[in-house]
Amino acid sequence: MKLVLAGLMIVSGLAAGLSVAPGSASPPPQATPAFSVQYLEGTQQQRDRATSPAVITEGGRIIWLAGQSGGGSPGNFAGQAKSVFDRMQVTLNQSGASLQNLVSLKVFIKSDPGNSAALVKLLQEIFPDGKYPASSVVTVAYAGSLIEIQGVAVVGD
Amino acid sequence: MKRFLAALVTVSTVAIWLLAVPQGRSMPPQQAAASGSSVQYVQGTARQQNDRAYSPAVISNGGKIVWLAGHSALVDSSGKSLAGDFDAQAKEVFAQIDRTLKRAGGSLQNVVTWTVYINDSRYGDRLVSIRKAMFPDGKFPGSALITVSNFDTPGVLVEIQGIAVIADRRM
Repeated sequence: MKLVLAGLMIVSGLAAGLSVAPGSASPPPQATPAFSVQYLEGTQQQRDRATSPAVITEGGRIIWLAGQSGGGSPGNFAGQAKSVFDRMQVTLNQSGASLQNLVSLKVFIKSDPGNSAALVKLLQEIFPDGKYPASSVVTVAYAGSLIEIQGVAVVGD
Repeated sequence: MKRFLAALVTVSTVAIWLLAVPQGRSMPPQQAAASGSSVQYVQGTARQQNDRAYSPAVISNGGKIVWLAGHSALVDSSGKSLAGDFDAQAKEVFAQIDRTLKRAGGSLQNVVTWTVYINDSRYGDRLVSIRKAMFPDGKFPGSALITVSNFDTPGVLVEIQGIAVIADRRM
């Protein structure tokens, strides 16, 4: 009888141990927060400059991109700007996202007449639905590249 | 001997249950942290907090993130020109950011970081003094202040691009 009891205890002890292991090893069940993106509508001036005044996100994965500068075509601003977005697209694709997931852009350009108009035209082509990232544009003194953009993208799980 | 073994097993079983139960009970607080959201301001040095009006870091957990465009102001809300007036432009930019954030259910107080661009480094001290007045509780956003060669729109002296987090708690 004692032996049976002892055996029972051992089995129940093991069972308790087994029931503990999964609980302590796996993270607590968390409700995945719903992912949402909302583009605040801009003024006419903001639309003309191809930017949203703000983009609001909740949840999702955030992809913090390095500053990406333009390659090739020396002196060709539009070509360099296009290559910046092509390169960002590659990086974003690697992260399971695309240019459409960009919510924020910091644009640094070399000051030259026509550069910012070319940038706006390109943004309008990339975001034909008007869901523009929230952008800033400043001019800086670059030695090589005429444009550099640092972006942030948010994508649902 | 058998009796001793049985007692030992009983003790170890109880011990395992005692260990297991509190671990199970510790889960609900973690769930609460996941559903709640917070923003915590890391206290900076006297120079950071008092002289330059920024926090060395702000820590956010969850919440609604508002990605702001660069805001600049050549006219105020009534249409009056602010050309050449740095203080007026800076104040109007802060007011604009506040208005944009109110559309998202927050306010200027929810900014966690911003990049401030000015086109003359001599404006830096004025900018800091104006933004300091906006945060009387000392909960400043993190900040970078950069002098650039210029802006897209002629006459603009300052542009600010920020990120805000609207969370349940601000600590």
